[in-house]
Amino acid sequence: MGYGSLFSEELITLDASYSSQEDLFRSAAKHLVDLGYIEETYLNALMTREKDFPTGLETQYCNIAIPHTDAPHIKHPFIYLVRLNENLQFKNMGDTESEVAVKIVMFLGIKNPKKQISLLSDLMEKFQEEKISRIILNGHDAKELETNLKEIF
Amino acid sequence: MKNVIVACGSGVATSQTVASKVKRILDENNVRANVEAVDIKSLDSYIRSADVYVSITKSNKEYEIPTLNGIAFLTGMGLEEEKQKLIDALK
Repeated sequence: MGYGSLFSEELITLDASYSSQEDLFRSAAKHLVDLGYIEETYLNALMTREKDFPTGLETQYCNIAIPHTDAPHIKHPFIYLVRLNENLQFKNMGDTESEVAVKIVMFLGIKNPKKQISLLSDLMEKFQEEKISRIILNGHDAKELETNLKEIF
Repeated sequence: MKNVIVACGSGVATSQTVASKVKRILDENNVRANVEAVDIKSLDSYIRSADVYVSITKSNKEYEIPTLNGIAFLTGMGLEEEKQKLIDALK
């Protein structure tokens, strides 16, 4: 099942700098509201959920985070990819007493958990492949990355 | 039939993803078991009937049944070890 269509140039931000996780979340929410993907309630819901259930993950080639929140805050499904200029600390999903320095953040807009069940597993499987991790880590611009991601997924 | 439960914060994404991965591993190894993703708030009511608990978030609570590291099933980091524990626990 492909969901390459979820990737688009407007949902890829490369090499951006944020002063904190909150700064990143605020910018992301503003961008997603402007594009019509989320409700105004998203930001608070996202921040609360990340605090209660953090999403930092170590994978083989880079550390990632997959912030997400409940479906009622989502208008249309999306994956918003942000590649950070400077790593940001996220609490570790598996051990909330430790932190991971995250380079790639993928905001997951899950509207229908039952239908999108394979989304996260596919994403995580791709991050276990070196070639795909490199494409995401080294892609030069959003348009090129969109094309590559559409092919991969 | 033995029962495996997977719990995460809200059941939106992670526990379902891990549950489907666990199910696939069991199928590949010809181990028959029910695998269910549950909300962490209802964990205590499910754990009584479970044989293995796959945990996403580290908890200070101790359970009497084998408890596996769910993150391994998500990211592939340390997967082989957890896979073996899973299969051994359900034999």
